[in-house]
Amino acid sequence: MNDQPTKHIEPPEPTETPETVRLEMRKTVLVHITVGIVLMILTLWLAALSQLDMSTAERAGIVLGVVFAQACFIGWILMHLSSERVALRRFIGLTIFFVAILFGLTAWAYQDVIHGSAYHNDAPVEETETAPEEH
Amino acid sequence: MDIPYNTQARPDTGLYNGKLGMWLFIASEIMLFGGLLSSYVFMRVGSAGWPEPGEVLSVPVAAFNTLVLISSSITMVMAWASLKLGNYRRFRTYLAATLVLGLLFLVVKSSEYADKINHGLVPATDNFFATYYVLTGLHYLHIVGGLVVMAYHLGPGSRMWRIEPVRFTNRIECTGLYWHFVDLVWIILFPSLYLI
Repeated sequence: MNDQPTKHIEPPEPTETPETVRLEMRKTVLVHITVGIVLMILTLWLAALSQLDMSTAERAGIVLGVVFAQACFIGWILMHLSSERVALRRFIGLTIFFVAILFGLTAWAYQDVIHGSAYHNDAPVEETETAPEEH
Repeated sequence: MDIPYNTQARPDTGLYNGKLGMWLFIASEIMLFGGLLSSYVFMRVGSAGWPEPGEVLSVPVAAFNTLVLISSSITMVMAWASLKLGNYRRFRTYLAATLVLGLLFLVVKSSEYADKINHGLVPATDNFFATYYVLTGLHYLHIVGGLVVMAYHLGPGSRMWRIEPVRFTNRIECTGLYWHFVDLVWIILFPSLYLI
């Protein structure tokens, strides 16, 4: 009698037949390849954008929009957030919220500059007239 | 001793432990790169003499590297899908392709670093190059880490497929999650550093 401990291999879930897994994987791979192609096209478009003559603010606006779309494609589809548990999506959403706060603090720092300091020496120089000393 | 919930989902989280751990790790990484990017924005907006990125960095090279990383993300998904279908040989081919594409990214990035250093553009040059080297250097290290894990799965780690195929497939899924995240970070770094 073999008394060696046998490794337990998890059986597949009852609803998963080889045929359903094959169809599901085929669909998944097709969606992922499509997303990959879209990401590549957007990247090439961004690279071409750098050749156009436009202001930094205009370019930043377009670039941020495209990057947001690319990030959504990767997170939602490639990383399967679309089919994950709601709790996990909320958890990642909360993390992104805190990152947004970090960026908000950066913006706030520029609203609250210390004028006249060594870093923001943009305060108008006041001409001080010294009154003649009275004798 | 068997470690629980490395193939089955935990009843309370609905996820197997490896995947939950990977998402927690990714959350901490989001905060790490988020903090660095916000400090980059802080310096970028506050600096009067920030160089035009297109004049000091090569946009076509970086765009090529972005395409390489996106391709590697696709091959990573194909590797995981091959395992789900039980095709181990195809899995090895796709994972090896991912590894090669990751190495190609590192080679191109290293040559870019070498070119900059040869021209005297080092982290001490100015704030732009300081943030450039920190952000891309940290990303570079993440790529190296991912490649080490993939090499392990292709080499000694692959024995698990014969003993615990479901657990091995889950490991590849977690590796894929990490790899997609590294891809996502580069997708954000590329326009931030090279285009704006």
